[in-house]
Amino acid sequence: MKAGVDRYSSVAIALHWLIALMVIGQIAGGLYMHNLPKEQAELKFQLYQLHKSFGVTVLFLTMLRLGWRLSHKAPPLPAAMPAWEKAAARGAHVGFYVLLVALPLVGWLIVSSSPYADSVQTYLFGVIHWPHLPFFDGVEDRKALSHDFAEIHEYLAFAMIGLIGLHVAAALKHHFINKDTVLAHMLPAAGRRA
Amino acid sequence: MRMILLAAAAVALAACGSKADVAEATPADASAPETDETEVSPAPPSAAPAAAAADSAAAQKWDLPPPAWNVDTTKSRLTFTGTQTGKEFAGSFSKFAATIIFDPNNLPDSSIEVVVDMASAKTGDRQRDDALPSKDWFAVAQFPTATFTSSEIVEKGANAYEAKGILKIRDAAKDVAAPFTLTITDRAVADGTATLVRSDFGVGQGEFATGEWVGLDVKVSFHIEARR
Ligand code: HEM
Ligand code: HEM
Repeated sequence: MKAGVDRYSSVAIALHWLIALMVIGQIAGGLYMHNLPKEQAELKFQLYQLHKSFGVTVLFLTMLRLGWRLSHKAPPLPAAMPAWEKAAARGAHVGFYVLLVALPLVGWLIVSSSPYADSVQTYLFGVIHWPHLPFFDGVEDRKALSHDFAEIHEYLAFAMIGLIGLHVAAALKHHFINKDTVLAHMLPAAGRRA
Repeated sequence: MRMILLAAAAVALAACGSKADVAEATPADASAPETDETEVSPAPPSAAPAAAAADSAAAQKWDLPPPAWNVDTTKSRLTFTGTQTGKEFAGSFSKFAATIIFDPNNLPDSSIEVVVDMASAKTGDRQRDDALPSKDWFAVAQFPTATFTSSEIVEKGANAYEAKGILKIRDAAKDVAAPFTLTITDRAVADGTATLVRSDFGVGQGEFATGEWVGLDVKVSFHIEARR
C-alpha cells in the first residue's frame, strides 16, 4: 500500500454507499409504485410519500457530498489507465452528480406542478414539511405539465440506470480483470486490497 | 313563540266547536296537540313574557315556549369519518356553536341551528389537515363556517327524533335529515349521525371531485350535552 492518498476519505466512502443504496432503492421503488394499480391506493400513496422523502434526502446528501468532494482530494486513477478511460470515468462521475441533483429537482417539479399539489403537501418521513415550488399557480393544465415532468424524471432515471450499469461494470473490470486498486478506493478499510 | 300560543288557542277554540277560520289560520300546527287538550285552558298571549315560569312543575307543558339549551362545549363533539385511499379516518370540529330551542312536547316550535368553524377540523394527519382548509376542500378563507338550520323536528319513536333542515357548506345548501336520540335527565344528551355526500357540497374539487382517492361518503356524528 502506497503512502498518501490511496482511497477516498471515510466520509466520501460513507456518502458514496449511502447514496448508492438510496438511489437503487429509489429506482426500484419508483418503478414499483408507479405501476401499482389503483386498487392498491393506500400502499401507492404511502410509497409516493416515502419516495419523495428519500429522494429529497438524496438531494441533501449529494449537496453535502459535492461540498466534501470539492474540498478534499480524490485518489488518483491508476497511472496505467489510458487517457480515454480516465476521461470516461470522470465523465461518468460528473454525469452521476448531474443526475443526483437533477432527478430530485425534477421530482420536486412533478409534485409541485401536480393538480394534487394543494391537497397533498409533502412531509418528509411524515414529519418535516417540504414546500412545493411556487411557479405553478396560474398554470391552466397542471395535469399535462406535471405529466411532462414525470416523463423527464423517468428518462433521467433510465439514464441513471444506464450509468450505474457502466459504472459497476467498470468497477468490477478494474477489480477482477485489471486487478488494480480502483474498487479499493471506494471500499471501507476492511475490504481493501493490500 | 307567539305562534304556539295562537295555535293552542286555536285548538282550544276548535275543541269548543268554533271551527270557523281557525283551522286555516294555523295550518302548520296540525300535529301539535296530540295531548288530551280537553282540560287545557290556553294562556292568553299576554302571558308570553312570563315564559320564565317554564320551569315550574305546575305549568302546562304545551302552554310554554320550548326552552333554550346551553350546550356544554367541553362535553359535546362534532365528528366525522371518511375514507382516503380506501382507509377510514376520523376527524372532528373543535369549534362549533349550537343554538338549541327544544321541547320534546313542543316540536313545532323547537329549532336547532348549528354553526361550525370549518377551520377547526382536525383529523390527526398533517397532510390531511393541511388539505382540509384549502380551496379544493372547505375553502375556509372564502367560507369560514358551515351552518345547519332546522326546518322541522319530528319524533321517530321513544327518545328518537329527526331534525330536518338545510345544511350549508361552502356555497352549497342542501336539505338533510339528521336522526338523533335524546335523553333528558338533569341534562340533555343527544346523539346522532348523518351520512353526507361531500360532492353535493363541492367539498373536493378538481381531481378530488370523484371518490378515487377520497371517498364521497362522509359520516358526520354529533354528541351534544346541554343544560337548560
Ligand atoms: C435520486 C432520486 C430519485 C430517483 C432515482 C427517482 C426515480 C424514480 C423512478 C425510477 C420513478 C418511476 C418512473 C416511472 O415509472 O414513470 C420515479 C417516479 C416518481 N418520482 Fe422519483 N426519483 C427520485 C427522486 C424523486 C423526488 C425527490 C421526488 C419528489 C419530491 C420524486 C417524485 C417522483 C414522482 C411523483 C414519481 C411518479 C411519477 C408518476 O407516477 O408518473 N422523485 N422516480
Ligand atoms: C447508484 C449507484 C451509484 C452511484 C450514483 C455512484 C456514484 C459514484 C460517483 C459520483 C463516484 C465518483 C466519486 C468522486 O470521485 O467524486 C463514484 C466512484 C466510485 N464508485 Fe460508485 N456509484 C454507484 C454505485 C457503485 C457501485 C455499485 C460500485 C461497485 C460495484 C461503485 C464503485 C465505485 C468505485 C470503485 C468508485 C471510485 C472510482 C475512483 O477511484 O475514482 N459505485 N461512484
